[in-house]
Amino acid sequence: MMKNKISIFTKGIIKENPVLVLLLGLCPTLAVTTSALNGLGMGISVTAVLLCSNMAIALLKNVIPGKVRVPCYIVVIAGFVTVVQLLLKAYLPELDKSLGLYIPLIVVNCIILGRAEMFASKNSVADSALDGLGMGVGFTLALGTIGLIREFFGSGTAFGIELVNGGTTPMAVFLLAPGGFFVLAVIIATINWLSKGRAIKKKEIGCDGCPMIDECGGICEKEEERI
Amino acid sequence: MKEIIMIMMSVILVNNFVLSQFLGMCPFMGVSKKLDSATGMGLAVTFVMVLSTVATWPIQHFLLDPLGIGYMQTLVFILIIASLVQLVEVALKKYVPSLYRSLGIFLPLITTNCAVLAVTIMNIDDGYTFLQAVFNSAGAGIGFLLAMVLFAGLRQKLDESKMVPAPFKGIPITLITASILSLSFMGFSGIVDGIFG
Amino acid sequence: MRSRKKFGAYALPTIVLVVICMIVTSTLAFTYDKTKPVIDRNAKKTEREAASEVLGGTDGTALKEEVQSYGGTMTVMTGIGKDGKVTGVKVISNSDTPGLGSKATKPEYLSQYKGIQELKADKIKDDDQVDAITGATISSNAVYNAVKKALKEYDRSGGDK
Repeated sequence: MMKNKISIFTKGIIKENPVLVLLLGLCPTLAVTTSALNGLGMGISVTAVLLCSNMAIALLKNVIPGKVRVPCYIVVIAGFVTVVQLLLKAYLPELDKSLGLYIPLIVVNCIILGRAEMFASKNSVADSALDGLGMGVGFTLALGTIGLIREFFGSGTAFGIELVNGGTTPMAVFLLAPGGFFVLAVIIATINWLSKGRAIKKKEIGCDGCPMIDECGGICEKEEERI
Repeated sequence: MKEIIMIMMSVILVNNFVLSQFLGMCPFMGVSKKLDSATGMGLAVTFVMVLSTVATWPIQHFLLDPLGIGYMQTLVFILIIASLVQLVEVALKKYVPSLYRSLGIFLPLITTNCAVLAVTIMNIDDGYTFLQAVFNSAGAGIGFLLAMVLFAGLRQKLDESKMVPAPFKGIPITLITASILSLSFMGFSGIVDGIFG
Repeated sequence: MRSRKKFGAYALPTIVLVVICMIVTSTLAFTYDKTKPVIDRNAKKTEREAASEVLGGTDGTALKEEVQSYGGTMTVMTGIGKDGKVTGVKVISNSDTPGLGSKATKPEYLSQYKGIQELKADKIKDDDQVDAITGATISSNAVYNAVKKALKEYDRSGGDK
């Protein structure tokens, strides 16, 4: 029983890491990982929302009728995101400025709606909390790592501390869009290589874990078959 | 007028939603493989963006701001977008079934597309007038369409290529392609700057 | 009988949705109430710090101006000394893309505005007193316009305040 509980938590960190394995939530991943601290900040904010929304939806799962399921989830998630927004603006204004537009965008982060649909709506509050926490930690670790790599190559710093002593100029392109795409590509390729292709089940971005699968009828996968 | 052109050139080329701001990644990666679905998705997104702007801009300026409940923005906007998409889907299905068949299927995917919510928030954050906001969102959609179409062409070639190393097959090579495309789009900032600077 | 069933099918979900909306909204209103004073204090603190930074310890006026730049609005704080000359310029907020645009917000670039009495040109490239950053002319223009506005406002209010 205990082993089962632990696995709910740990799967979100490695086996089903939302960013690196399930390939969800790519928008913020690429956008805010310009520094390790930004990545971690976003990761923790998302974890907070994920934890709360998973628990709230697990609590309300018997009360919410199937028809209005998605709108209800959205309202609950938006509520928590706004609370996080306000708290950041008040107590961590620097982080709020760095993350900017991407904080309210947490509300459409596939991970949160996805876990609500896939897990919280079908499991207990405790299990949902563990799932949310696990996914959140996995997300945070992924973002922190990508942020660290981009920060190191792009600014020569790590967590804001100067590492490369003015000897070489950092490659600013890593902080910009192309750098983001590139670093993520290399990380995923590395994971592919290390696990001999077994880790990433989704060779292409498909429908697993995407919250809209009921609505769109698996259009992403249908597209694959059309090729 | 000049401002509107500058806004549009900026959001289509220099600050392209996908290639420069990472907005709208999920549908971009999932649906950009064939040219016709890429076009369909791009047009659907543009349509929803403009419609959402028309709905959200007045709500912000005539309801949220005067009542001082600006903090409700995230919640209200996403609900408006979600409802709008539902409405459009139903309307299309009923009145223009041909359009529904080509565009309508993408609509549910667009609800959780961060690009739409992003553009509605940007309209407010950047202090645009209603007209500027409409053109901004149209431009954002066009930029998205442009990126999708360019990518569809590239990916068709990529999938046929045998030269991609095994670990890079699939997502990684797609991302690297996006990175190169993004790099080339950066060149546009010099052009816009030269014209309007 | 049928209409009653239909009523149930549509009424209940709607009611649940509305109730959830109301609960969420009141939670948000509560949170907003508690955090607004802190947020306002933060904003004022940033302004005060920027103001004292641009004045650099001298006696003078600091004026905040908003201008249209590349990605949206740019907020610039200009310090003007008793002699009517610029003491310092600081960009408080901007939404320009990092990289090129942000070069125009760096202190090293902005220090060229120190000591300026008057800005008359329409565009920064037509004014010899200050330089634009190549490749970031729009942002440089925005800063120029902001300082120009501040100087105009200072003159309009009769100089020393």
